[in-house]
Amino acid sequence: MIRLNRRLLLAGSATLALPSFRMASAQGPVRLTVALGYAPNVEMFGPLYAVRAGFFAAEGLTVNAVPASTGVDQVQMVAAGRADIGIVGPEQIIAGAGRGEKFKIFAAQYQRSPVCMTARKDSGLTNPSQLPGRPIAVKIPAQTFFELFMRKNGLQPSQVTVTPIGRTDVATIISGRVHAMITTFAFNEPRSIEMAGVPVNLMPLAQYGMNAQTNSYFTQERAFADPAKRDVLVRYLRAEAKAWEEYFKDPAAAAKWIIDQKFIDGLDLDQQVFLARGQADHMRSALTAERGLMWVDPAIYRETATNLQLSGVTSTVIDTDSMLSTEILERAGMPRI
Amino acid sequence: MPSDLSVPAPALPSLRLPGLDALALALRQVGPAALLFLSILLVWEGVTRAGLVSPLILPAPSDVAATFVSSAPRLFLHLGWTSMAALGGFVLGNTLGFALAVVFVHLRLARLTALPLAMMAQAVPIVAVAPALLLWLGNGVEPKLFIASFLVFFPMLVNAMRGLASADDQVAELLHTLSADWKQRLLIVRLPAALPFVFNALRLSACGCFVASVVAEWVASTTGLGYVIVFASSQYRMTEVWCAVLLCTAASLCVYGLVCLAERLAMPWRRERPGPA
Repeated sequence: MIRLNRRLLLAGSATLALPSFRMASAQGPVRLTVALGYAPNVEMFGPLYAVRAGFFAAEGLTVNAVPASTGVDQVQMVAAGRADIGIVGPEQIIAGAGRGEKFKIFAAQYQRSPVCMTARKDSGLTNPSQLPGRPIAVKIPAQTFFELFMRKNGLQPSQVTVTPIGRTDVATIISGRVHAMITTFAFNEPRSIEMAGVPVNLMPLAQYGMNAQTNSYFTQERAFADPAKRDVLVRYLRAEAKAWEEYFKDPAAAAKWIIDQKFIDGLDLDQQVFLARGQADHMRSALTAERGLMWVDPAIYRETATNLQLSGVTSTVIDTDSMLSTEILERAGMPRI
Repeated sequence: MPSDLSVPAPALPSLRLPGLDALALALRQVGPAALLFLSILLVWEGVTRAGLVSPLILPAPSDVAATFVSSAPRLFLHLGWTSMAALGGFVLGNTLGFALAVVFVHLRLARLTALPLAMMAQAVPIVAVAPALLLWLGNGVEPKLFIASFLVFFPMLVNAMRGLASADDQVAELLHTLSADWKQRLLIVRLPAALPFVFNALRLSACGCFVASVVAEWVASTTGLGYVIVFASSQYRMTEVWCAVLLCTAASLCVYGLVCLAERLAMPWRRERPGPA
């Protein structure tokens, strides 16, 4: 799922930039607001665990983790100064940069995109070349990405019958009205669809020229330019890395911890364990083994920026090399996993 | 001794024209609001130009205007889709609401059995069941029409029932003694009594039908202003979002104005005298 969910407008008071990285007192902890990339489930284990385990406090930070939900847009929150750090898909950060905002990306949770097209197994769909003539559900914000996905695979969007669907709609594919839907998050919708009795095949977009480092960590460029604030980011990431180390010891236990902590109502343990195990695989790569967890790969960001230009989201290919920095990762001493 | 050659100036005819009076009156009525609106626009422009607000959140009015000019044909096309669903829903929902009100007022059994169901239906969070509606009704205009009708139906039902029941008892009794049938009593007594209530409901639904239509498009659609808002905001094209929002507001107000005009024509006896300047 390319989660381009966003609020239309922040409330009037939220539009005015507030000072970021606020010091609670001369010697006291630094207050940080982090706009999470998703609801407080195991996907966001790192920041959530670091808060509850006191890892941030040990680094002299008081972190307010704001869960993502309808009406919370990480890019707008960071741009407005309502959040110091945002965690979100690079597509959104680059789209925001394309509208004139200046951001700095300093870490990334996933090493390859978990976004995929999900097809009903009984449709026989296993790769894009089989799509012509099929009914496909497309989430409204993903329309341009779907069209690019088709073109990248030598197809025209007009070769399929498109049914527009809402962001959380899985009923359309479960009912059999469509053979596949795009975009989905490998650990979320496919599991929900299978739990409804419909086995699925996945077509990861990363395998078809649309890779992205989903859940990228970013801040305002002008904040990043301040050495004192970069120090704060180092402390933040060092604390979160400790939490992720705990996670990698036993992802299933991490999922159970999330359930037990009751961050939100309605989480399913099986779903969370499935997510935790699948996510662990997407967070590791040769690069994380060599350089450390949450590493950023400039080549993947260039690919994402090119795709955004090709799909018309940005008018030019945004220079992502200048948006990336590995300084915080290097100084935080990220664990090699 | 110089003679006094000055001649008293003839009295000039009054230059005041009836049209000018009307203009002055109109200015007095809308002037303060227009001034406030312009002031807000100026402050808005200043705040955004000064960089106090990110353009990802609030674009400058001049940028919104520029986008409106460059995207007008596309925006009006989407407005057409939204209007079709909104106005269709306005007509359908209000017609159904009024028809049911007539039935409920005349048939006690129907009122006792179906009215609670109608009230329960109104309490359904329609957005939550929208995916199911899409499955049943498809992705065309039908689900939008349904949602718009659904949301305007209830205000009309409640208002019309109250209006129809508010008819003068003595007049109704008189017609009864004259052996008027139920249709005559409806047309001569109940309907005129219900008109103010009916127009109240129509005014409510004039804006409500557009909101309902946009919400329906928001859930899943590739046409209409709701789609424009979702899609453009997903790419931070905030000027386009604002164009869609303002266009929808303007369309709603146009329908509202038409309803007010229809009310004045339908009930000339209720025209109020202009208030103090």
